Amino acid sequence: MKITPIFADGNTGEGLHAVRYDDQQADEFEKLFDRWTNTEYVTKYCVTNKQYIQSDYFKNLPIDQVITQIIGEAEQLGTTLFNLAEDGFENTGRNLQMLFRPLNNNQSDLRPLQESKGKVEKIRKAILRIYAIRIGPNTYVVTGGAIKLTRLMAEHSDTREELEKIQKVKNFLKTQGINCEDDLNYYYEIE
Amino acid sequence: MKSNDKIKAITSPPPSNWKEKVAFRIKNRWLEYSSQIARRILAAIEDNEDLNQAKLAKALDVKPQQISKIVQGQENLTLESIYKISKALGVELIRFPDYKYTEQLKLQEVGKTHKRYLPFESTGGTVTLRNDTLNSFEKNVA
Repeated sequence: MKITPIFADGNTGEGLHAVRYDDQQADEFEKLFDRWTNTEYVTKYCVTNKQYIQSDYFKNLPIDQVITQIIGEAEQLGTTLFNLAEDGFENTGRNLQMLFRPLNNNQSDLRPLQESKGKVEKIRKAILRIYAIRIGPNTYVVTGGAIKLTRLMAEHSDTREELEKIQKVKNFLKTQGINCEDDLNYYYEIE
Repeated sequence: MKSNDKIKAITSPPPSNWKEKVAFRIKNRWLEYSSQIARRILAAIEDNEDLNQAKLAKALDVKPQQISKIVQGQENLTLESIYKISKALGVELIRFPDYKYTEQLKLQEVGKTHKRYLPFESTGGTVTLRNDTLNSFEKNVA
């Protein structure tokens, strides 16, 4: 397992990072957006999981509407993060903490190595999730993500798997002695 | 400070390509149309037991990789390509909305200027005069 910077400040190390597993060419963050903007993948995912779309949670929305929403959310999340990457954090008043929230809805405080989720805020029932570990207010490590078609993560095998991945990454970061932003800065080669 | 060995141990070599991909999507909004067409192609293939992406590629005389890119919603299709795919699938992939000349042509088909209310029937947004009513009207004004 390695950590790839998605966009990060070279001096402070703060920013967005992602896990890249040893048997993968792309990091988890890039893989998420590759899937979510691939019409074939999204369409087949929705068709395969149509029983969840037909459930009370989604009120039996037409599959095409769900496909449109997924691709639309991917565009919004991508654009938001792209703008953050381009503009930086200095003097903008924006940070990653505006996008990510504690994964556990019952947690209102912020903690070291907190499991977190990012989603489009303005949509009442947003479907896409980016899962990450919070290192600091402006430093997150993406562990994966999901097309969330159920109310609870435990209700679908894909989101259950994401819960396991978050824990594995959290344990990995602990074993590497990473608990806060300063520690992560030391993980990139200084030329 | 962490040792160089620890640093090197978990550093990832090439950076993520995510940003370039997002920049491309932001710049090329036609990708929305490409996605809409892709969905309809996938549905048409799914509905036809005798068809798959490989057979569609053969029917269109293109490589299977081309069809793969099309159904991923990543291709900037020409009108000619859309037409050929429509014909090969036997389904309409795009439809044109009504516009002002569409409505004027329909009124001309009726051919009458009516000052009184006469019974109409409406089918799919097109309003036409019923034949029996038209015949009766012509008799009365003759």
